[in-house]
Amino acid sequence: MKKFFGKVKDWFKRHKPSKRRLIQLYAALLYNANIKGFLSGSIYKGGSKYLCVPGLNCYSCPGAVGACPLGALQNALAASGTRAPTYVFGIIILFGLILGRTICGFLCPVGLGQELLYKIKTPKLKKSRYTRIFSYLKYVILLVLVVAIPLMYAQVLPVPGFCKYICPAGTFGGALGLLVHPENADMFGMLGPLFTWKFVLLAAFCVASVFIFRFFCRFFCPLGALYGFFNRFALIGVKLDKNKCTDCGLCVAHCKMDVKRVGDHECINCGECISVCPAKALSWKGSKLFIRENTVDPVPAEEAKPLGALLKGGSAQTAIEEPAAAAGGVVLTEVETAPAEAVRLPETVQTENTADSGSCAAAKPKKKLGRGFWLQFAAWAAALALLLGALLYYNVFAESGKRYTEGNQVGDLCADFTLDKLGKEGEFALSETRGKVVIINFWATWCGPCVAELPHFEELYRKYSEELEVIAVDSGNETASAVLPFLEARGWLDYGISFAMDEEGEDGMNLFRRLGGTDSLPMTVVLDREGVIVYNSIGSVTYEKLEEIVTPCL
Amino acid sequence: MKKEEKIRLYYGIFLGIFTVAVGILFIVQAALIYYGGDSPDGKNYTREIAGEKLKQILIPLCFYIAAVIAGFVLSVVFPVTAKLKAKRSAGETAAFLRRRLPIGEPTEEFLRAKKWEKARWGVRAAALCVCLAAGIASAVYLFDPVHFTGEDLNPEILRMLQNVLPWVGAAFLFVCGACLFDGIAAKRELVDVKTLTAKKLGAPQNGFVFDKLTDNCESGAQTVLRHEKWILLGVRLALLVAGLTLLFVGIFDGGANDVLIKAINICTECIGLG
Repeated sequence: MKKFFGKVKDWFKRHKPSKRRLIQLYAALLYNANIKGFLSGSIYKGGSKYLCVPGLNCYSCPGAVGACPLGALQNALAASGTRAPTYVFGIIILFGLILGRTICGFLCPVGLGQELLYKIKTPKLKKSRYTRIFSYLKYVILLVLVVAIPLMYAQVLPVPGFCKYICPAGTFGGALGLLVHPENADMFGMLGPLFTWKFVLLAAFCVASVFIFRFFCRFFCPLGALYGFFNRFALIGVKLDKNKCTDCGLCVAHCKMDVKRVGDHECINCGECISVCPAKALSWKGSKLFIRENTVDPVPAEEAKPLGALLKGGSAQTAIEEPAAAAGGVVLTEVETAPAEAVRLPETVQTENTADSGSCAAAKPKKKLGRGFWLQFAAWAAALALLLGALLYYNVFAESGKRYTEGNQVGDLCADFTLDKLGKEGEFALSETRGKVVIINFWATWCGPCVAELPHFEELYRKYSEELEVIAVDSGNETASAVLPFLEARGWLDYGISFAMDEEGEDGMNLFRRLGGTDSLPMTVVLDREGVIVYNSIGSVTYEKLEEIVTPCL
Repeated sequence: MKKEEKIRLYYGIFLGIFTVAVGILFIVQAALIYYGGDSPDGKNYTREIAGEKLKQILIPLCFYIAAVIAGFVLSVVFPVTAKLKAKRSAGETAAFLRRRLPIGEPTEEFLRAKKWEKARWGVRAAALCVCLAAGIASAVYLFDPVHFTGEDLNPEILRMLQNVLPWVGAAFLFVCGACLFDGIAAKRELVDVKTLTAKKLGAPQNGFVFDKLTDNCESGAQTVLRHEKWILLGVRLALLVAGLTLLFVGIFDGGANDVLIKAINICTECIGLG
């Protein structure tokens, strides 16, 4: 029993969370500091969403306090017909320049989730040349789904291709995060084949991540592909001192990503290779601020094996060696047959996978409490203060978007309203439509499903124009100057249906909120001839569904 | 194999199969929820059906979690030492050796190694051509607006996949095949290069000719290394200026507002709700 507890203690010591793991957890919590959102079933709608978080974190997640860079990029490209996506490009360039793929290694919640799943003790699929080839699939996904699809549909309707068809963060954080809350029970009506596909994909990614390290990151993540372009130039990351490097390949062998060399476009700058380099050739860029000592003793040149060792054994994969004096400084170590002789590695490297141990525990020298320690302490204190401040602000002081439920349920009489028509003269007054069935559709130009379904309303209106009134109200926080050109470009100003911009009333609420809308578009409300609400639901509708709702009222 | 390694291995295989089974269970339940709806075509989610189906897999899920925990306990009781091996591919070893061979007369081994090297370069060039062809064919489809009218989105996307995926798949398969051939050819080349290298150990001063370009390549690399610092600095400055400029232009022309508007509303199609 004592032996068992001793082993447990030893295991915890070797597997205690590393600094990198703590930073990953910190980032995940900071990105989703709006914990109140999970409790209320609504998303945060405040100003911090001007900023993109560096990692992949869906902004439709109830906890999200920032925008997703990939989602923002796709939406910006989808809207590139009206405005050049300079803001998002600027943000991505700055993130890439400062951090590169260090974001993947330290600041991405999706990466954290995959690494935790990888810890499940199953056989693992090791990397190979073929996994490196398939790692280029994410560039194909970047080109097709993130760039081409939004651009090609930009003139027609906004389609964030990757978010819509692949992104697991959206399914997990956004969909599941919202659906678990009873307030969002009506969202179940919106689920269909798309959600089924995305859920299946999410399950597949989770299962694959158990067997393959960072399966989604390596083969599918276009954000990692994008940051990979900047990895070489990033200010923070792992750097290789070519003068010290003996090209032994231990760093690449130890790394679970498909790197060819440290710091290339596949390297997530996790820093796990720093402690295994026997020549101390690896360190952090800007390493004066980081204390990650490589405590492995370098191999003395006189211990290196002569060239003739290559010809013994005949293995094609045996590294060769030359005496440093003869070859002018190139020393490799033969590690395959006798690692203990050629390379003195710390104990932790040769034991069980200690990705979380974070340091060479056996060989660590005594730390001095110098400038480096106090710098680290200050950094951690500032980070903790920021996290606690964020948690306090978002969960105590920030407003939550609760749904207004008075007078907007099915069976209630809809309150009168008047809105100025957009692109046409006159007003739309609900009181003047008594005796006709009225459809109120809430939409926005940036909302793909909204734009896709609007022609159905026009088609229905043309069929029942004498008994039907339709008004499409833009509730997407847009301006008339932005919406009018959109309508004009599509020829929708010639439609029979009316368009209007949502306005705030005397009570400070706009029509969308008054009729029960919070943060999802599209929303459709149908009133019978007496103005009583017969249908009020979020989600897009087909022509058949619309006709089915409207026909009994005619 | 030691007893601990065997236990760990068999339990790992069991847990792996259990993981896949749980994943399949989730997928099947999602399909059952989707097909068990209350709309006339039977394809509709409701909260009640979702809850009922998930309750059915709750017990297997609990067993799985217990099995995962048991796996961790096993790793404590039977720790296994992971061996760290540095693997150098045959191609890299051959290239390394070639660069250090002196210039001299060609021999049979040299000519054979050269032949394998040419074959490898030929296959790489072929792979590059296939990738380019696939890229061009895909781009021709992707950047033709006729294929993206938006009238019926999902069928258009499916059609796009039907037209683009075969090219992408073919390119990946060809590259994998090229990689396989490259590995085999590199091993054959390495045998001859090793023989050449062995001869070097006892060879006279005039050794073997191999690749006249290797010396130039090395000095070229050294030149790049010397200027690398300044190139890096220049690129970083350019990126910084570009990033800041784009950011501020975006803030002033309303790009930041677009990001906010999208982020404060639920993107229903992004999360599969539309």
